[in-house]
Amino acid sequence: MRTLRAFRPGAACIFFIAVIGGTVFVASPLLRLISLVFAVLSVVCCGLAKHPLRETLFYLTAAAAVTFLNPVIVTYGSTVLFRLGKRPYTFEALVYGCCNAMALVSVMLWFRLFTAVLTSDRINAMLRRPVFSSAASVFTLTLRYVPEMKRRYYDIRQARKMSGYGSGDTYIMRLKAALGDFFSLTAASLELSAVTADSMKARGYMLKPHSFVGERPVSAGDVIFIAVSLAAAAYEGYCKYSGSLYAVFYPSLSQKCPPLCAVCFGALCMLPVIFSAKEELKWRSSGQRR
Amino acid sequence: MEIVRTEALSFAYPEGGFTLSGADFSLLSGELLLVCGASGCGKSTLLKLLKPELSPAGSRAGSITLFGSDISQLEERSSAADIGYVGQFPGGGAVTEDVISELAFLPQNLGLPKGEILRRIAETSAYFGLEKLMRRPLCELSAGQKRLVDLAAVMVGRPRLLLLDEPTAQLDPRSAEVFLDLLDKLRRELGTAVIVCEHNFEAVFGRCDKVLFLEKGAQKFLLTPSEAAAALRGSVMETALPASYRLSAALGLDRAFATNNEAAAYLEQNFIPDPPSAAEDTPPKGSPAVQLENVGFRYEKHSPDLISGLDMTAYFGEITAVCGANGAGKSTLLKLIAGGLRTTEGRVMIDGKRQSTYRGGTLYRELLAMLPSDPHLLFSEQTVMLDLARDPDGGKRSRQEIYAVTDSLGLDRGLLERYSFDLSGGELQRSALAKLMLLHPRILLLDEPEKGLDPAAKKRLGGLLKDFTAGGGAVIFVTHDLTFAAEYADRGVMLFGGSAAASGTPESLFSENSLYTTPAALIARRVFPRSVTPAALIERCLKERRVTQ
Repeated sequence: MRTLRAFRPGAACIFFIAVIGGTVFVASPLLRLISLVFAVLSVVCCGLAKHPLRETLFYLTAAAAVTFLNPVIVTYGSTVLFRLGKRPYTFEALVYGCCNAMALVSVMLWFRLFTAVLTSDRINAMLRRPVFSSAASVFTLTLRYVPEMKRRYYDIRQARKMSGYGSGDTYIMRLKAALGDFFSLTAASLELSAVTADSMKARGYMLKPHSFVGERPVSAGDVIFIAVSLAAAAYEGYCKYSGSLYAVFYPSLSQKCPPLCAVCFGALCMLPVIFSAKEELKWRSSGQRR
Repeated sequence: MEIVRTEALSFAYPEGGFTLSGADFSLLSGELLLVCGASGCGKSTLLKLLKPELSPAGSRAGSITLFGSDISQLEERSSAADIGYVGQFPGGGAVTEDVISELAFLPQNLGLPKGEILRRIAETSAYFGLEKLMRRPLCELSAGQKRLVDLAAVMVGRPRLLLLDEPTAQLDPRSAEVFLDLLDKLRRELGTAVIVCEHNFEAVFGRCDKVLFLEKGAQKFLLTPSEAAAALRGSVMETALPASYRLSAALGLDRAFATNNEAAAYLEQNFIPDPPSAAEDTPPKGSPAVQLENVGFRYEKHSPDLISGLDMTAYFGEITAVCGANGAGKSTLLKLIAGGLRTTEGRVMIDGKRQSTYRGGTLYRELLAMLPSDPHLLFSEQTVMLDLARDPDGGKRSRQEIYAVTDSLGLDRGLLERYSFDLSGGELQRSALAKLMLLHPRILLLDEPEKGLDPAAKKRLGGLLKDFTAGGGAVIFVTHDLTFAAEYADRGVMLFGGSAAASGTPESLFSENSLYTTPAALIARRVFPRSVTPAALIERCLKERRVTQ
């Protein structure tokens, strides 16, 4: 993460677009597996897994839900494993669900890395060109507000429970209490937004010209990083639209992934791990003790 | 150099109602102006009128001159850099995620070169002692640290005028002192002019150059602190004055004591000290309401214990105050009692039964209710009345039932028809308290209930709590206001290192502490050590003087 942060925000953003786009828009089980493996390794290597057991359980639950629910909803596929009532539960739909689960979990993990590398100030700096300035405000505030709202919702629920107003005996009462919590959260969020907007205005946001403390000239490293990301994404796109990279799930499984495409995408996904390993080696060779 | 001058400044909101009128004052560089008055008197409005970006919509008359020219002539860039505004809630105006980004925000907006930004961040962080916090997320900082970051984030623009809205409201006494010492340093060394709005102005009063007092939107006076103390004599605002000022006034002295130490020396010279005596413990007035036995708690599995080995008992018929520094675990303690958090060790007994045996919300049915430190958390409807009308079982309460409670809390019926975010701090606090009282609890847990209250509201709250306990109820409140604790609590507990470092009656608790204590106790400790509130100290001095005469 340390070395990913060393790149300019734009370069890091292009990398994440290439990786996340490659994972989402190409439904290849092999590429999604590669993305998932390196997403897990990247999150671990960058020290972002604060509660490994709890997080693994969460991602496994999400993956299992997507995998096993897909055949319940989608009945396509020729290999019927069993029937739920009159609906067939097919192997192909199960594989498609698994493929989507891999995409879902890897995208969640890549986004964790994304938010750790591209903090709101860096996104702000990246997007603060005349055309994007409003988008930058919305984006950075959203990034900050999601955890803020999560924390606030927890506070509201806890406060209402302890005040005697969130502890209904029936499901209907609890549902009503939850709705009240939600309305309270919405009102508080609007008020907090107004306070933040005032604070931004008071400190000269939108004055021109502005500068960015993290901005430094584009280095050769940035150029190479962007070039590698774009090249890998372009080659993957080429393979997909030339028909050499495809995956068909229904009625029966059929997929093709050129080895070079897998290697390129794998190399791209591996970059954060390589950067972390390089950082680790540099640290060890410096003779410093942990 | 004159930094700000207002002449016949008045302001009215478009919807009518409140108006500010006749504000006339000026401030030189390095001066500190204290703006005080009751809740809703227009302090915050006045402050915002001086910051063009925050100026409220409405009609303004009179003039505001900033740095020698009319406010309308002030350039946007100059307004952003030269006028620093820090709002009421620590960290409330934070825009970014970590400390360094927050400090970089203003200079980046000013378009300063990178080298200049880094230099300003470096020197500001060193000046404020924030070096070790620079990469920390803002949400992980204590209230005191957030306050310093708020100030540093505007000081990095090198403002000539600082506007602070209740800067010490949520800080413990020590953090408040640190913050105010830093302000003094800024004024002395950089010549920054400072305007502070405060309800609880005891800590600021002795440091300011001028006091501007507002009453219902009108400027009542602009005086030096000594003159202001004399002008406030006999009013309810007098209780907010520093103990040393109140004492000198009560003793009829020509000059107010400049410091607590000077007042203490005067007492030593003029009164015969009480003989040393052991602190007396008073017997409980009722049965135990809340008992904590060897309670421990930590937020994360591998984090250190925030509370450990805590034993404490609060009784029916009594008010128990819990004091301690920011981050000592006071609010956590209340949440443990209220069942919002679970203990990792020990047990909590409520009204003689283990807390865990209360099931399905029975703990909250006419037994226990907690007021959170942010009362907004309890409101979700469009008006306060709609919120109060809804009972937790889904039924509706009658207006008569609601008015019976709100009238007893001194809440104007008109306020009940307003949106909770439109109420002042004191009004909101009382509305939230009304919501709890409608449940007829026997045990009230209050997290900083005096926060944001003016002296009159504080006195009313203290009276209400006394009435509640006189009726057999139990109150446990957490506070940073040691004088409020000393005045109204029957027992006090001081949390330190996760356990009760000291406990007892306020007289014994505060007379035995020599640093973390009330200003009155600091003055009285060598002569009348059991007098820990200004009222008790003044009464004792007057009584002894009559005896010697």
